[in-house]
Amino acid sequence: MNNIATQRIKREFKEVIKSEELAKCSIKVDLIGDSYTELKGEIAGPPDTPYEGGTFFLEIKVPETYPFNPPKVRFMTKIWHPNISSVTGAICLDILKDQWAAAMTLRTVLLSLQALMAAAEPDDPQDAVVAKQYKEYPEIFAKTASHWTNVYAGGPNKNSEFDTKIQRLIDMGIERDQARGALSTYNWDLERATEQLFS
Amino acid sequence: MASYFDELHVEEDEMPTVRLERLTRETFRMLFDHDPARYGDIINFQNTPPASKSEIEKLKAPSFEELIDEQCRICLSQYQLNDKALNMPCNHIFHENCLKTWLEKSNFCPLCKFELKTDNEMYELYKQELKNRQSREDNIAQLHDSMFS
Ligand SMILES: [Zn+2]
Ligand SMILES: [Zn+2]
Repeated sequence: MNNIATQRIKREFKEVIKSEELAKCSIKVDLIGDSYTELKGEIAGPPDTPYEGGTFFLEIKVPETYPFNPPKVRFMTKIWHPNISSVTGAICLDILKDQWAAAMTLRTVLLSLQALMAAAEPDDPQDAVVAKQYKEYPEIFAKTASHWTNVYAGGPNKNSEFDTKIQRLIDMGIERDQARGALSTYNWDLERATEQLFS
Repeated sequence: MASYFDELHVEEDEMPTVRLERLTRETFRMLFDHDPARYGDIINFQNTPPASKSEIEKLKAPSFEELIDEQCRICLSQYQLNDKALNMPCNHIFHENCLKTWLEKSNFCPLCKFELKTDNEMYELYKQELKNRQSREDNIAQLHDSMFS
């Protein structure tokens, strides 16, 4: 890794450690090993959203050409959000692509992601299924996102209705995450999810 | 207000290169009118084009005083004695090397997005047309206000 990228990350690392957001437990960055090319990000689900109370981990890869090119960021914690793939965790956010600017930092990225969690952009989706549900059935979307936050990110809201439906599919031999994915996709319509899984 | 393109009327006996240019402009306009958002995809603005070399060469160095206790916002280090720096037209200062590496990739100021000219004719036309549309809308809005207020 070239000098400027390493030096830059070291400086930023101190910046995030000292930042207000860290004190408020809202964002955090950790090193993985001591290479400075791979880091682990952490975002608290923003208040008054289905993600509230959850902790979301991010994989951050710093390219050699950083900060002239953006870091590669992906959600490691599964999340139900129109701009984040529910399968791979890939993120659709302009500043991670063509709107990146060399003066942006990891702190900017994490705060932008937190803002994206609070205000989705369904017209520029990463996950078309989630985006469609967000627009057509906002209440089901909110419940689903809150359920995923509970299951994968340690959020507080258990949903026993959803759990019962998932259990029904598990009893038929379907794996748990796959059952949850299918039910989420079909707006918790057990019949349609079953049909799709066994077709 | 006349469109940018209406002013580009070209005669029959024009030079072949001009004709070629007119063709590109007309193709551009057709695409743009059809679907401005998709036009961006067609000529691939995944990344904005680099700043024009001549624009980069015009950038001036700031005075020594301007660098004291300041930090280059690209590499995040403080300016040291003898560091070479450049001033963008928006008055944002960066190390010469840091800024040049950035401008060879994207034409805007990393802090405020002020744009330098590029050598990409299609991109410049695209920007110009966006600007024209905006000023047409502003004119209509103004006219509306003056009539009804
Ligand atoms: Zn610098
Ligand atoms: Zn600027």
